[in-house]
Amino acid sequence: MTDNRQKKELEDFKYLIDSRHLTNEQREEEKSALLKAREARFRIRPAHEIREAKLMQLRYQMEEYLNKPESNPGPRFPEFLRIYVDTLHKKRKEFAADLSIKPIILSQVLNRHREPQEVFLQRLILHSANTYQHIGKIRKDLWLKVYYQDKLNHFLSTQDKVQESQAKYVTNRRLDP
Amino acid sequence: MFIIEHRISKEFLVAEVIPIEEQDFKHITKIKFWFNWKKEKEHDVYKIRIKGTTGILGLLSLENHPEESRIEIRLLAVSKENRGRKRKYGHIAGNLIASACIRTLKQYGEWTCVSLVPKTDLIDHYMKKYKFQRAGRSLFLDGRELIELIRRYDHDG
Repeated sequence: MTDNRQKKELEDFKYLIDSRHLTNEQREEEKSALLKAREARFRIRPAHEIREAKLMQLRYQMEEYLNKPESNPGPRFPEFLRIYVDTLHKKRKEFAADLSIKPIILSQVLNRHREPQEVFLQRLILHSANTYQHIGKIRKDLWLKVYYQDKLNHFLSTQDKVQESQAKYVTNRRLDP
Repeated sequence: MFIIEHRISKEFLVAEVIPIEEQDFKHITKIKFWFNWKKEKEHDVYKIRIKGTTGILGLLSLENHPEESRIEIRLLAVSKENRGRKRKYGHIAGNLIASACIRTLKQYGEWTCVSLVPKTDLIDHYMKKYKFQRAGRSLFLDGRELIELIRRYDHDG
């Protein structure tokens, strides 16, 4: 093969990856080598990088929920909020202080004993905007959309039963064709 | 949101990486995508295309290893007209690798890892361009380098 042809082929292969060619034995060796190398790197990974990864994961999970709400209908808002709070603080009352709310209110929202009020949501959005500023940004409406997606899922999943009980109160006639 | 660049007009276009559909296999030839992609049907196969169009610019096959919190890039191919120095669009391979990183990050968080087995001659290329790390015959991305690659290619937010 000429040098030029070799060069062209190599250039082409920058756009092609094929990882399938290993034997089972080689795969086992690779598995061990990868785990060893990853463990060594993980041991020295700074806490802020771990936190960053968790926050990025949370953002993508929330986006996925909005794109495919039927895959895990929830409610997800309290679950996502719990991850957010616990990623940032060792104690939840510290997060409550960040938002200038009482710890009991945060606890009730997390445990689904209380609906978050608009002020709570607005402060959470501001808090997230600050947190994600240097991580990879977060859509301003993400928390709000997750919250209302939960509401919509609940409405849709209960509407048949609710409509059955409410039908007797609706009295309009059908329009003539 | 992924962006690809038209190399002549320098126009940036929004692209999407989405699961492949059965009917796509009719248009995926070995001439255009190098490998026999029909053999990948049992794996997670994704295509990249310009949003609002149907033409496939590249393909990606992934194998999930949940016990290791790792996703392996089994196969990746950029379409023939988009390979090499005279390629029409840029950033296709990078976007596909970044999409694999997002998938694994979403699933495994701080433990996340993407790996591949490169051609020996291209090890340096992947390490320089995408900051892959080396382990045995494999290359892998994790931690800061994986997050940075996502930031480089995912323009959402």
